[in-house]
Amino acid sequence: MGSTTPVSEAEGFVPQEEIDASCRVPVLLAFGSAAKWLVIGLLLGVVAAIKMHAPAFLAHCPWLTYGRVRPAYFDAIVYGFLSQAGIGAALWTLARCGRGRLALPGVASAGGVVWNLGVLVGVLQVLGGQTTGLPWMEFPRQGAAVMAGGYFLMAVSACYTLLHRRKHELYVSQWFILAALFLFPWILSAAYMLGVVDPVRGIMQAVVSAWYANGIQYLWLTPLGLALAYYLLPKLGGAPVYSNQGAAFGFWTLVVFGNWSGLSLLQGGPLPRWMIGVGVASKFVLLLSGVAFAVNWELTRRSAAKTAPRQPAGPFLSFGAWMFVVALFLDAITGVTSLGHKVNLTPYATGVTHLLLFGFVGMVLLAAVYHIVPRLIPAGWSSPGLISAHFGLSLIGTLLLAGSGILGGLSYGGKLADPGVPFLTAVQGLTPFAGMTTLGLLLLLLGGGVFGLHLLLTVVRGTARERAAFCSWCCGCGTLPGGAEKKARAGA
Amino acid sequence: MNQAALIVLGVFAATASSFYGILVVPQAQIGRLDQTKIEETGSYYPAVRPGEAQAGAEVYRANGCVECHTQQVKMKGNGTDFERGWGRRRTIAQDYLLDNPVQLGTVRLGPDLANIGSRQTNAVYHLQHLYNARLTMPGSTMPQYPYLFTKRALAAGEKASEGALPSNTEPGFEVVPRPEALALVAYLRSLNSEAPLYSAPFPLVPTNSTAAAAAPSAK
Repeated sequence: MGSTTPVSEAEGFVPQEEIDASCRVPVLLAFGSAAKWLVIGLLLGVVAAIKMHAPAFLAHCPWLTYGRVRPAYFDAIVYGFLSQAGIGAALWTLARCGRGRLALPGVASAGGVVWNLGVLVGVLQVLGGQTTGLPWMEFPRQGAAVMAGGYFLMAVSACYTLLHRRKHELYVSQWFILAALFLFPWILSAAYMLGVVDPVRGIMQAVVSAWYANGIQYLWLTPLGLALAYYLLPKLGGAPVYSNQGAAFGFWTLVVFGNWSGLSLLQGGPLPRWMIGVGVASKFVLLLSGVAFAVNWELTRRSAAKTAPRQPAGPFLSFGAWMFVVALFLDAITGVTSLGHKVNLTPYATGVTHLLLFGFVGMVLLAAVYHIVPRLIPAGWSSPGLISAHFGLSLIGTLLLAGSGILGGLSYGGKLADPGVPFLTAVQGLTPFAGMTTLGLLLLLLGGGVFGLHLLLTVVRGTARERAAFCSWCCGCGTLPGGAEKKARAGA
Repeated sequence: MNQAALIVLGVFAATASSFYGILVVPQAQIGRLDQTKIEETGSYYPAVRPGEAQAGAEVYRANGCVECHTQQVKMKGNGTDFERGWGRRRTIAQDYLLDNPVQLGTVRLGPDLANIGSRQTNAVYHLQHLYNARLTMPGSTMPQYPYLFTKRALAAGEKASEGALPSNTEPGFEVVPRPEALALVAYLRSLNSEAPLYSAPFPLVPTNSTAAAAAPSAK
């Protein structure tokens, strides 16, 4: 990619440089916002993790009580980091796959600003005690509404880009992005209408929030991750995707059974057995989607030329891609009764969620960011060493964070299953795992800090010419890149 | 555009089916439940919470107690809820009818609270536990909530005012619960899902005297 041979204009394809130029502002804005929320979210997460083994830590501040700072951390990561990195990468991917410019980039940029505002409002509201109390949808209606407004603006840009694409055949990535863009507003609005604005009565609220939580995981974030994985695999691996039918099978399995597996989150809960059963069975079938992806991945890699050059995004992508099927597997096996009863309501599910979010979606989206930014800023990343540092910190941090939940859940569940073990003893057994969680989050925070600073440095250095031109334009004596001239103030 | 239209239609159909099957159908089945009358006492279950307890439910929500505590008793054979004395029967949909929001919980870093109102009726215990859980349960990892209380240094020989927590809470200081703390404790004391219902009777506990075991007492 990035070759200087001209693309055939006769086919109507826009040159890659022009596509990248149209994406520049909205995508860099999305990536910068994602980096910012990664750091803020992880800071909140570290505070929450410390409180798990040092309960008196910052106890006097109601804004930082565990019950508020923990959901604030989680929502900042999901909506601030993962969603924005995903949308930014998705917009660029839609433009590139369609071989046309990003449509309405100004609208997309405005959407990014509004989305950020929504996340900020939501996080502040949660810290201020206005949490809805429903998992994954703790943002009160105001924060969620502003976020939805930002989404709408970005979706308009995405839809126009798709409608005016020059290449009509859709690539795998575009299927997943289209599904994610369609599903997110439906899931968000339905869940908020039924759970917050005009709440359903009683236990149905738990059903609504489980449907929503599952939807955000498997119908919003996962499709964005898979879209970028399928886009980057041929680029970094050097061979086209091995099986389009396999990819299609994985896509439809995800869309259908990802929808139906929400109720498995309520295993053991006060609901009719058929509801839980449907959810658990769907989770097993959803595993097939992961298997299809993993098989496709491995076969594509093997068919690639051995001499594919090593790219900085490579390690993120390789690790992230495998974590999808691993996380799905660890989630699905809780459908086996003996294990499911043991780990039910323990940190096991939290560990698996962290593996899916940080290990799969996060890693793949970071690979996308590391791949895309040099296409938007020709000077490229300032320092490859910082990318390796980020990967190392993220890898170990993710394994510690997810591992602490999974292993801690298994250990804790085993103790709880023995009625002879007092509850307090069982909980105290979690303390070393809480330490692991804290360490994992600290490493991720360090990695996130490295990433954020590196991105800032790259953007600042890479746009020096534009910034100088803007400054002189502002003073009324120069031209903007692209030729817009500002009349001197005296002569206007 | 046909390919895109096919994808949109397919995704729409899949989501519509799950929306219908997971939300609409269960809403028809359990969303229209209403209070039931308990024959033995003539009262309706679940009872509407008194005002202070309802205010306490808001404090519970606002402080994110649901992040560590669940309010669901699992069925016999799934876990050790009964053996730990967390309830005499499993919780069912009926129990959550008047909860808004329903704070089912997703992880147990603290004991289940579905029946804490029958398990621990001492308000002072609850207040001390909220102020500093390590006073009532050494080794507990529960966070402290000093901001739900007002702390005032006592002069030498001064007695604490009425309503203050026992002197061992913070020697030399008077710790008075704020209205939020009192409301939260009222809410905790209202948490009781042990009414015997037709759809969730008390499981029979095999003892020497089957007659004693077979008669559930209505609380």
